[in-house]
Amino acid sequence: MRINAKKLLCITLIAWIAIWINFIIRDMIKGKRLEEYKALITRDAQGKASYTYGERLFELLKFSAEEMPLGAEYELRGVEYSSIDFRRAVYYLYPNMCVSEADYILVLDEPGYSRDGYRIFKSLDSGRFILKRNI
Amino acid sequence: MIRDIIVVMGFTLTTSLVGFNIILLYDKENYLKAMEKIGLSYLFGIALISIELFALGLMGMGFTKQNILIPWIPLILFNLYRYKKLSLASNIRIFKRLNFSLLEKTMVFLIVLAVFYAFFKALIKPMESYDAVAIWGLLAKILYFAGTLPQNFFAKLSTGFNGLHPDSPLLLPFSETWFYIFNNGFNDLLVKAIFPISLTAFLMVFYSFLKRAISNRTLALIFTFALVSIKQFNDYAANGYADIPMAIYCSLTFLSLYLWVNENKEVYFWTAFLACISAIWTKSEGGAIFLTMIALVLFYQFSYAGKRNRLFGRIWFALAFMTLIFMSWVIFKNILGISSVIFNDRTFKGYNYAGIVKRVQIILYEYQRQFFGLKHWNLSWIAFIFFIFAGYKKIMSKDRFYIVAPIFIILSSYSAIYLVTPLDVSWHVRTSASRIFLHILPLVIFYLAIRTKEIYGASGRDKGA
Repeated sequence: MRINAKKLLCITLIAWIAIWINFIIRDMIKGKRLEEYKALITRDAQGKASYTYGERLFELLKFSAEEMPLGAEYELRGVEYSSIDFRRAVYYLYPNMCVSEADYILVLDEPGYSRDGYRIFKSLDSGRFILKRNI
Repeated sequence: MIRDIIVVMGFTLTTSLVGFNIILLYDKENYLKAMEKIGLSYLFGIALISIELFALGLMGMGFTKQNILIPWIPLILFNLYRYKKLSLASNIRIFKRLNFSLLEKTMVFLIVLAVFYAFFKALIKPMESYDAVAIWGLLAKILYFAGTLPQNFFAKLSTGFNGLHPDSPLLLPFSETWFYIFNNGFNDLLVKAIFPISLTAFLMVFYSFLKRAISNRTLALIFTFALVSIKQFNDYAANGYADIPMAIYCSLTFLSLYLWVNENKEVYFWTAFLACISAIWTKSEGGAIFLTMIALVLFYQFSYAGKRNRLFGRIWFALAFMTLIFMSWVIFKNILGISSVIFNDRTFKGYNYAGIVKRVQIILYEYQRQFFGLKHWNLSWIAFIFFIFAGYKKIMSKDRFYIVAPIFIILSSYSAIYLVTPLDVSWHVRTSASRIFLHILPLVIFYLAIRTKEIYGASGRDKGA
């Protein structure tokens, strides 16, 4: 009985380690973690954030944080409400607050978007720009 | 880079110093081993500083290093005076000559590898995962930039931020705020180091508790490796969620309670007491941990403990104090009108009682999907189910009951939430079951270790560490 228990423990441990290694390797290759780590490891903090958030979104957020006055209220266009991108944007832009009917509208990848009572305040490119409410 | 390393080390040591001095208050016999003391020092240090920040904020005081650290100086001086005869070496007895077998060396290597991987995953990306940016990281950012608890903080959370869960306890946001204060600046990449540090601290305690319980170093190392190698556990120790801190304090509560019951050492009761308060302050699920602990302590007193071991004054006081802390938080939220997304006055209005069977089906389906999901849980749940069925006759014995009972009580209470949730139950269970299972995972692994030791018998080698 004792030998069997020992054998069983050994087999379980080997199986455990095999499963562990298998899923790490799968994650690295199939899950593209290795590719991601390779891209991230040499980048600085801003570069890591840019890669993680997606470069187009991150550029718009960085640009907006620099151009909007501190504490300004904004609305997001082109980012699905409650999506991970939306959450990252709200987090990144704080202490600017995301509200509806805000003074600023941040537009992501919606070329030509306009709204009555707003004008283009700053542009990053044709699809990414900030609208500001006319005073 | 060098500055970052110094900051992280300084933060860990300062935080641990606070926790260490609290431990000295109740470990008068110097019973806890060095591994336990080191791990618990950090885990209790960060929880207590987090509570302290909340208290400072309520008093309208600013979050500064001075305001945070000066209140601990009298305690440190008191302990220095009290323990002046004890040298540090006698207090922290860690460096014994260790004679590891090849298997043990392999296990230590794999544990270190898994911990390093958690550090790597944490520090390769800034805060980016869903709850980390939507709740915990955002709360920390708000608190840090405000420099204190802002006026109408909770009201603003309810109205100004969708999905922020204003009813959530604040251990994690205040821990991150404490890190930013220590760092003299906001750094949401470096702050993620606090997660794998907590993991490391917990593994030290887990290993040490396990070794005490089964008196077998090899098995203790194997099962510590088993825990840290579980993908779900390792991933969540790096992504900024509150579920690993919750798993840590939940498990510490019941593992300490288990050792208190089985070793009859009061020092473990106080460890459970502090861990339970920390759990209450980590996530709303801490309420279930608190109620389970109270129930188990009372059950122990009225079933197992002999007359001589019946509750005495200090322990009644501790239970009353814990109740006070828990109720204060509940009343505080009620006064401010903060209600839970799940438990509120609308929960049972229009509740479809006929739909319970359907809900149970959905819950069980997701549970079995998790239990047999090797990718996330390896063999842990399958082995647990096997051992439960194989040893159900002895389930009420003292050396099993205090591990198995909390697993089932907590799992049942979480399942009850799914039964009443006003959210779409499929979505709710699918998006959260894999995280709530983490809270009890260390208990499951601990149970597997105890049962393995029983089966393995005395053939395992017992060595001191």
